[in-house]
This record gives sequence, C-alpha cells and structure tokens, in this order.
Amino acid sequence: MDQAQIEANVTLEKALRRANLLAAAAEVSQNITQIMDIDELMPKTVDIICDAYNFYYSGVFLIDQAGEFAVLRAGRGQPGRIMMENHHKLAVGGNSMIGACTSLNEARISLDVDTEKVWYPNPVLPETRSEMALPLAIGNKVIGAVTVQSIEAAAFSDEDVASLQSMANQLAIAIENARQRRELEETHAELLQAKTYQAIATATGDAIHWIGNKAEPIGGSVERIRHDVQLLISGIAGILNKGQISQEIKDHSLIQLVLQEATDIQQSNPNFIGAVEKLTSLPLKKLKRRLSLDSTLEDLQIIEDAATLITKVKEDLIGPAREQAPRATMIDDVVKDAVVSLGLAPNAVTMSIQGSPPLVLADPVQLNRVFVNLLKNAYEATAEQPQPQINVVLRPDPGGDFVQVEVTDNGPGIANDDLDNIWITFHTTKGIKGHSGLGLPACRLILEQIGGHISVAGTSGQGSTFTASVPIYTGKEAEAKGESGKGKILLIDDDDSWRQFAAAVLEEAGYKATTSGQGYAAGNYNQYDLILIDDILANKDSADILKQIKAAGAISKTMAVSSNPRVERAKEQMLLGIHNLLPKPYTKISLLSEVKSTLSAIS
Amino acid sequence: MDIEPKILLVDDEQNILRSVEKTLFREGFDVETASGNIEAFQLFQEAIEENEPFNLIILDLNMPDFDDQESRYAGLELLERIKAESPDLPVIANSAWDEVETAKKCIDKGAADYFVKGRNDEMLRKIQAILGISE
Repeated sequence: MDQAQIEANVTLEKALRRANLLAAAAEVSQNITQIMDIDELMPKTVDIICDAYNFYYSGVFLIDQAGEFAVLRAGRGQPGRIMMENHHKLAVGGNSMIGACTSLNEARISLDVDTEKVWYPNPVLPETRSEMALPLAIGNKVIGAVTVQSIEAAAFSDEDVASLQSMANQLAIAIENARQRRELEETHAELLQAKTYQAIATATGDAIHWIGNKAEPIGGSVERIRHDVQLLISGIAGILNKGQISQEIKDHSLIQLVLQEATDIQQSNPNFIGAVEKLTSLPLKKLKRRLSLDSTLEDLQIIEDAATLITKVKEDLIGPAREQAPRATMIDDVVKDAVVSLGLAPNAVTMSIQGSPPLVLADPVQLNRVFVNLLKNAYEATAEQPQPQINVVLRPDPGGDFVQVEVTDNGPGIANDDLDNIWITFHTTKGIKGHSGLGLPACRLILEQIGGHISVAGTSGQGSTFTASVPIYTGKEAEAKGESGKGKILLIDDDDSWRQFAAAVLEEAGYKATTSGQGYAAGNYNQYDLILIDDILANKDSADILKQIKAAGAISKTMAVSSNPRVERAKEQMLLGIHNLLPKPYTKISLLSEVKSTLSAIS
Repeated sequence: MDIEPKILLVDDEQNILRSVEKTLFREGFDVETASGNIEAFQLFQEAIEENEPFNLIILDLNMPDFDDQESRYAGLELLERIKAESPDLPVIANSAWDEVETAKKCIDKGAADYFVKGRNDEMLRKIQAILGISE
C-alpha cells in the first residue's frame, strides 16, 4: 500500500466517522426536540451518543437544588444502572472531572487515564482509558454535565469535542425547556385546584342562603298538615261522641279507628279540645277556609317544590366541584351526545359543523354538563314559541386557539339588564320551577377551569346566543406502535366523526372493522372478536341492542364507550355482562391501546 | 271581627309567599302579595286610591329594589317610602338573618317590629299584637 493509498484510506475513514457524527448529532437533535419528558430524554441521549460514537460509556448528571452535587440521572447500560441504584453523585467543584467541569463551565478531557496524576478509577467502568466531561449550560448557568468514556486512549479528536459540546448545549436547552414545562404544568395544576376551591367556596356560601330560603316554607306546610289531620279526626270524633249513633256505625272499624286516634290526640295534646270546639262552631264557609283538602294538597305541593329545588342545587354544585381530568376530546362528539342524551324531539335541534373541528383539551364529562345545561336552557326558552328553533354551530375561532360552540334559540331572549346577572350564582330569570340559578354559573366555572370561556349575545325579544370557547388540544400525539392488530371488530355508533375516526384507525392498524347498519343491526354478533358500542345512540336505547347481543351470547366480548359515563348506566350495563364501560378514546394511541388490552383480556 | 284586616305580604321567594299567605289566610286575614319593591309600592298606592288601604305590611329585606335589581336591603327603601306616605301604617320587617343590627336598622326606619323568617307562631303573635286582635 503506497503512501497515497494510506492517506486516501485515512481520509476516507475520517470522512466516514464525520458522516457518522453528523448523523448522530442529527438524531440527538431530533430526539431532543421530540421528547418532552425529561425522564425519557436523558436515557435516550446516552444511548444515542454511545451508539453513534462507539463509546464505552456515557452518563448525564444534573446539579441538585442546593447546587452542591452533580447527581447521575442517566447512565449507559449495566454500569449506568448500578450507579443509578447507588445514587451516584459527585461534588460540584470537587476533584472529579465532572466536579471540575460543572464548577468551571468548561469541558475536561483526559486522553489517557493512566498518565493522569489525579484519577479515581471507577470499579464499574474498569476499561475506561479516556474520558471527557462536557458541561450542560444555559449561558453562564451550569445545570449539569455529560460524561463520555472510551476504552481507547486518545479517543477524542478536536472534531468530536466540538460536535459533542454542541450536542450538550442542545441537550441543556432541552432539559431546561422540559423542566420549565413541568413547572408550568405544576403551576397550572395548582391554579386549577385553587380555582376549583374558590368556585366551591363561592357556591357553598350562596347555597347556604339559598337552601335556607327554599327549605323555609317546608316547616309551615308540615305544621299545617299535621294540625289539620289531627283537627279533622278530633272534630269528627267529637261529633260522634255527642250524638246518638247506631250500633252498626259504632261497630264500623273506620269509626273505631277515628275514635281511638282522637283519644290518643287528646291525651298527647289536651289543648286540642278547645281548637276543635272553636272549629266545629264555624259556619261551613269559614270552616272551609281553615280546613280543606285543597289546602293540604297545596301544602304538599309546596313541600315537593322545595325538595325539587334543593335537589337541583346538589346537581349543579357537583359540576364545578368535581375535579376535571382534561384530555384530548372530540368536541363534536360530546355536543352530539349531549343533544341525543336530552331526548329532545327529532329536529328540535339543528347542528352544523364548519370544517372538521380539531381536538380540544377538556374533560368530556364536564364538557357534556356544559352543553346539556345550555341546550336545556335553550329548550326551555323556546317552549312557548310557535316554531321553536335551537341551532348549534361548531367552528374554529378566528384566533385559532379555541373551538367555538354557539347555541342559539329563538326564545324571548334576555333583557339587557340581565345579561350580566345570569352569571351570578342563584340568579334566575325563569321563576320558581326547577331552577336553582346555578346552571350558567356552573357552565362558566367549568369552562374557566380548563382555560376556556363563555359569552352571551342577544337582545330582549330576539332570542339569545351562548358561545362556549373550548381550548384546542396542542399536545403532540406520540406515534402508535407499529404492531399490526388482528381481529374482527364491530362498531355500533351513530354515523358521526367518532365512528369514522375509530373505523379508519382500526383498519389502518390491521383490524377488520365493521360498522353497524341501519337501526344498529349487525347480523351475527358472534363472528366478532370485539364489539364496541356507543352508550348514547340517536333514536335508540343502547340497552336494547345490548340485550340482543347478550341473547346472541356475545355480551362478554362487548365494550361500551361513552363521552359521559354515568353511574346508573354503567351499573346496568355491567349487570348485563359487558366487558367494560370506558370513556371514549379520542386519540389514535388511546383507542389502539384500549382495543389491544381489551382483546387480550377477553381472550 | 267582621271586616278582615288587609295585609300586604312582600317577598321575592315564591314558595315563602305561598306558604305565609296560606298561614295568614287561615287566620282570617285578607292577603295580597308582591314579589318586589315596585309591585309592592304600586299595590300600596292603589289600595289608598281605592279607599281600602292595607292595615299592615309585612316585608322581606333582600329582594328586587325600585330599579328591579336584587339588593340585600331593598326592603328598607320600601319601608321608608311607605312610612313617608302613611306614617301610621304599621310595617313588620323580616329577613332570613337573625341579626341584631338589621333589626335595629328596621326599627330606626319606622318598622313596628322585626322577625326572623320561619317562625310562624311568632309572626302571628306580633301581627295580633300590632292590630290589637285578641284571640
């Protein structure tokens, strides 16, 4: 091999190594920007570095809160695992390479550990011959260090140092970003909790006064009914006792009962005799005023109304009080579910969806509550219109951060003076029947807790429009694992966006997905490995179909999904024998993982 | 008593209105009801014009005021307006709150008495005392 050939070979080798390094740098950068989770990022980075450069070992240290120690957070292979288990850490500013690198914010390189004056051999890394420590720093602030070690002496070229340091710089930024992101998430969670507590406190304070007012008439009604019943019995007994009555009547069990009861009443309340005498002396017209079935029925009605109102408060307080679990959610599915679950007449609500709405970040159960409330209000507002109209429009907002849902009715509208009051707890514009004045405030609280908002427009006499703005889901969805699914799956749902989405995702993942036909019928249920049924179906009770599936013997292969799982329905369905009832998965990865785990649990 | 005493009952809580009206009706009073300042004052004036004024007014404190806005002391305003026109007409104030300060305010403004809601016997005794009715 002549000199020229040797040089050419060396050049080629250098070029290949350089290409490898560039590829590694690119891989690290790509991973760094994709991985949001700091605990996932660091182990992956040490693996990529070792694989690309063919290093013996690599580890990532982060400086602890006190700034005293660099603590090992990820290490390659078995040595890394051992050191992690031993909580390996090195003093910042100490004699170790990591200690010096983190205190001085500069790279430390040892090209041959055998010639170093100060070198501490690491028993789990016996073969290390050269080592480099690179600071992880954001400007002047050192947050940690990366160590790379090789079994060769003089393993690091100048090019390696430069490319590894630029990689370390990127890693530092990514770690800092991930940290800040975590902090932000924690702050957000705290804020959410604080808002929830505040909402509960406000609602509770108002509720105490409100419930007091609603419960107040009950006492009067009960007292009147108790008094009247005793008065009536005592009065009749008094007359029976005074007059001459035949033996036949005396022997009548009902008469005996009246006389016995009247004796008991007089014994427990001797003053009653006076009241009875006063009453029996009144002419019929005046007597009617004091004692009438109508009056008793009205009192019972008062008690019933009070009870209804008090129970309603509980329902509305549950809304904001329940902690939210926001996740990626198909808002059109939730709105549609709310419309169907209210059981309004067909065509009572027209729905239009502009474009295909993006996923939103919300708790579907809570979101359902919001739309049920808005639709109920709209329905009640239009109850007296000759041609009631409720329109629901879904559209992305112009700013691109929210999906807006407009609920418009052609009812009497809301007076201008009342536009602000409707958001106040316990204010109601609808009189006494069935309204606590908590529905709209609950809607507002629920939306505000997830970073959304709600507004109202409309003038008296011309209907009103409520616009709920729900934040768009911005999280990146991790790639679903490429394993191909096997099995036949039947989807029973309205022909809506969720069914289309689920069918497409399952087909793409290799399942054979079949959607039910007209009236949700599907022939032989037994031929499927898994049946997914929506809990709420337009124009049909899902329980009827579940009974058919049970009759066919396929109930244990059936899973119900719901945007708003309810205790009662879950109980009924579990008793029928379904495998499970789950909140609807709205993302590809959650759908595939639910289907996969259900299929393996069934088989 | 042949002529039934005429009472105006003012409260914005419909169920309370129904319930107290029943209690008073059974005791032989002629009761009219209003659920806010505006309606109450109108009934009060109409009764004077028709020459059949009320013998007694019972009013709540927290209810819609003369601007039809919910207000915690709307009843005090109503009390003042009534006393300005008919200084001798007895007015009893009531509230859901058992508060001395509130009671004092009402008496200051000319209320004949004050009671806490939900105590029907106490209310009847006060009415009978004010109207000079003996049982």
